[in-house]
Amino acid sequence: MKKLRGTPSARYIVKNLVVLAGVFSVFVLLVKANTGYDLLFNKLLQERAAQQQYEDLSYDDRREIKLGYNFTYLQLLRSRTPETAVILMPPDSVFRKPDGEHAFIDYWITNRGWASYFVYPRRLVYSDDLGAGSSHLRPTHVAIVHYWGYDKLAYPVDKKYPYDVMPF
Amino acid sequence: MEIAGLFITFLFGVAIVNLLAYQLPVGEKMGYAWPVGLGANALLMFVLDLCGVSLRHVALVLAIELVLIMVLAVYILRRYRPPVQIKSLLERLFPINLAWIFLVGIAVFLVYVVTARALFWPVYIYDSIYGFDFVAKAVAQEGTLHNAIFDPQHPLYSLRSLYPPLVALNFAFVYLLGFETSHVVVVIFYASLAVSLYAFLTRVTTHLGAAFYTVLFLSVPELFNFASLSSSNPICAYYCAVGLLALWRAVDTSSHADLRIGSVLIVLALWTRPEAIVFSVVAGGLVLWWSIRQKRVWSVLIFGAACLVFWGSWQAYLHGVLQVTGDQPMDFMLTWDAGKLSRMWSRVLEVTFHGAYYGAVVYLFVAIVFLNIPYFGKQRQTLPLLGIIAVAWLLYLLVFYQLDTDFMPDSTDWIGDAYRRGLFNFIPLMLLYCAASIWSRTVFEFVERWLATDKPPVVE
Repeated sequence: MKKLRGTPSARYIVKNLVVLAGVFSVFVLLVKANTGYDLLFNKLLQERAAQQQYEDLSYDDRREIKLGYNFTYLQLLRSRTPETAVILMPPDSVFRKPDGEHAFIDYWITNRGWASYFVYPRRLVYSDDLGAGSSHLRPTHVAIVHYWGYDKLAYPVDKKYPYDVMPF
Repeated sequence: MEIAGLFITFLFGVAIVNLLAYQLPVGEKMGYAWPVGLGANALLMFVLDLCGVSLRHVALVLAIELVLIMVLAVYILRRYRPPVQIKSLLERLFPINLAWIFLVGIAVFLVYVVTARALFWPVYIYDSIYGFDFVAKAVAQEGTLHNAIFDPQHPLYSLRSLYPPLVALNFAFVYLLGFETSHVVVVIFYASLAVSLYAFLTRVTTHLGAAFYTVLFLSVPELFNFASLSSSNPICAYYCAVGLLALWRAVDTSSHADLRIGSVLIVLALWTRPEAIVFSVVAGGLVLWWSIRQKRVWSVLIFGAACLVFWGSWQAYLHGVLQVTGDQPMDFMLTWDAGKLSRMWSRVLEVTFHGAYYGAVVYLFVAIVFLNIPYFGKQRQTLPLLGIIAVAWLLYLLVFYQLDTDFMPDSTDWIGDAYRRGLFNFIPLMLLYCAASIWSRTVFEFVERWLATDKPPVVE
């Protein structure tokens, strides 16, 4: 014989609704009383809006939104060099100038490990390290940052851009 | 390929969990499956790498796992001959009332939001980019842990790159499967934490209570944030917290299955982050306690040897193969500095009771501890759990006290950074303690009884 559960009584349904209302009230109270849940609730709404706003963007474009122009520049190095490239980077001082023209990318890019992640398997060699003799890698390209780097090339360049990457 | 590859690691975990602890309820085994499967997956990749096999052959890794799944399945089916009881299983898993459905709905929604967020955004946090995700990218590119990051002439590693390889290898695994982000691994552990915690909670409270505490866990703001980032903290929290819970129950119920699974989780924790050493010490104490009560000295010896082998294997690899040293910024000589301790302690209190980090969980836990004080003598089950939390926390604080810092405002904020995320390891333990308390049980059992009086009867 098949076992069936009887139809729920009105009383059972009301009791269920009362417990549901109680649980719901606890969570509303928590969201209102605790800054953490309030932030989380707002984050859920913001996240939904952000995902709708950026859903057509590629993964790299989304990363640019999170990481800014540092990533844009490193992506330029990545897209314009072969995987085996060893790229000469400017001295840290070039990235640390406080004027507006250098605000395009910031000193985060001087963090060797962090910056290398975005161009890997290409290698970054910083001029400061070459001077200190701590790197054995021979650069194949030079990173142009605010016109720094053109003087390293043994050939003339007709059209110069402030940010670029050139082969030696 | 992406989904199939992850599903194979899940099945791999199911097979191993059934081998270790067939007697456990299905819900618990589902919670354990993926973390154990991914842990074993990392171990297999490490062994293949040592044997000189390129890890870029991810199909080979999956093929070996499939063969092992089949061998284990045949062994388990022959040994246990399990009867198929899907109907009774479904009835036990879904005790329907509206509040429970609402709470489970919130839990599923939170996991969905974390998953959607994790898959939408690429990896961008500093710790991962200059740490395990970079190692993972290099493993996926070069097929070995011994890659360009560890080139002694041009090193690109940070302290986090030298963490034990479980996280980096699994991140590499998902990249090799074709995923664009390693976030998916962290999401799996977040969801597994929820399933495992729910399964543990149902042993100490009603299903409604279990759902309530599971939602409290999933909505811990700091954990919710980190679950969709490329962070190793939720992964470590799974192994440490669930491992300790399993060992606590092994001691409480003299269960061999819990002892085996708990020990495996703690050993895997040691392959995740260095902080797991603290939890493995507490776990070692629990296994020792179990061994003394059961008069089985081999258990504690095997556990100790497994911990040493796992931790030692990575340290030997670092020194012998990669030839790098993972020096921790710690002073191993115990020294007394009242000023340092005072500054650290005030920062610890500030972070621990910060509502924006852990929501109501820490407050609830402290309130329940105080309410339980009159009943300490009668709490055979929960008092040891409180002891585990207290000892682990004190040891954890000792590690921070021994760090080479003065905790002055202008120095590295270890408490606001590492400790803050390290508290994830304690949250499941705290919530289980709350749920098992007489106060919580009284409330939820009353609600369930009140509902049950008008429940429609079963008719033939």
